[in-house]
Amino acid sequence: MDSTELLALLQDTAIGDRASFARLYQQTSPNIYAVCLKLLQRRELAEEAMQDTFIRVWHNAADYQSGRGTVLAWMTTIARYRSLDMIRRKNIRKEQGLLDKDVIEGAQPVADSDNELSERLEHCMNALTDEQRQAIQLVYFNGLSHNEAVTHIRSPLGTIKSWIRRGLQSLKQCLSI
Amino acid sequence: MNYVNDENLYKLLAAEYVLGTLVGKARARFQKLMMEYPQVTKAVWDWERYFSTMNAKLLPIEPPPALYKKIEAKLFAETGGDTDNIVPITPQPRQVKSSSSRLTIYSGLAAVVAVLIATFLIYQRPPVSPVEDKTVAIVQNSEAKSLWLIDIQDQGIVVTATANVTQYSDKDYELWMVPKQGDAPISLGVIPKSGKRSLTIVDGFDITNLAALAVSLEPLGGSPSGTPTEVLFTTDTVLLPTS
Repeated sequence: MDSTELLALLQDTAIGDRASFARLYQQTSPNIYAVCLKLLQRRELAEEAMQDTFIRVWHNAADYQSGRGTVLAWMTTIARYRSLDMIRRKNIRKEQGLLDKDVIEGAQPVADSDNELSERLEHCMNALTDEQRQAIQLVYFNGLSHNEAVTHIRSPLGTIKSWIRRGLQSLKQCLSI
Repeated sequence: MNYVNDENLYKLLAAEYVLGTLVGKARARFQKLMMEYPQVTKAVWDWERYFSTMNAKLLPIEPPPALYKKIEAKLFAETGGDTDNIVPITPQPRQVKSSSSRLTIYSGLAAVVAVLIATFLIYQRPPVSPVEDKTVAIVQNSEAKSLWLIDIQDQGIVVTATANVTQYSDKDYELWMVPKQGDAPISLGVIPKSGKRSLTIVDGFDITNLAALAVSLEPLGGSPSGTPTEVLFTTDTVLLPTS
């Protein structure tokens, strides 16, 4: 996906250009819908999160800053937080397993400007223990709390918390955050 | 605050915030830190930039074709006012319980004023039958001047601005529901700087789970992050019983 084109579309959206907004939706909605659907697991909820996300994008396009990552990363982050809010508010429980084969595939191409970040993260993730890496990926993709992760990993709560915290501590050092 | 003095701690909390494992009151507390300390926000942004690259592992899925029409309808429908960034749901039954203790100072004074003003408004209306319970709130500034009258109805939340509202050309005010359990505030929409506006009841709005209402100062169009940028005022609601 061409991040320069998305930035131009977002800039035009910021000045009220509906055609650019429609094009931005066309370009990004499959990626964002995949994130919402993975987190919320129900189509009607994912559609609700999508509506909320794109309405916010329309209203707040001018507030985008490159410091928050690419345009797609920024939009996806909005969608993630809206989905996480819905999970907590609606008390949605995660009944399905992690890393469903029908949703998660091999790596898709990332935006050029994300390549370095992606490679660094992958390098640092690979340096974690298997348990740490799987726990972090599980809660990220499924929007699970520590307690919900217990059901999926079938390990004690304290152990899971420890994997995640030690994993994040290692990532923090490796990524120099 | 200790969190902010401990760089390692707030950066790890930032990671858990982005990951989604920071929940409930801890998440709400961290959101307050983000509002207060730029270095905390920067740590969140750093984690967001890295973690968002993991989304490339998800296979893109085309949303239903009708979805964009719904977004367009919400954004561009001729409603006579600003659009709401929310999905309407069936209105909830109304019962108000006491406010949370952390907001008592603001809400106590506001409640008294709310009763007086709302009662005044009711008496101004022509008689209707039957008379329904009303839930109202008054948002006041630190000088106890009334800024907005909020009337929560089944069809929506009617917000009326007073002449005391500070007019910013580059900012908007946004109304939030503060849930009782310490969960993250829920946006109810951008409220008017002058005149009156009706906000659609949002999904997740439950008046029985309402600890308080809050008003934040935001960029035009409302909060970019989904959380309040700068909370200015809080207030309680008051239930006016059926007469």
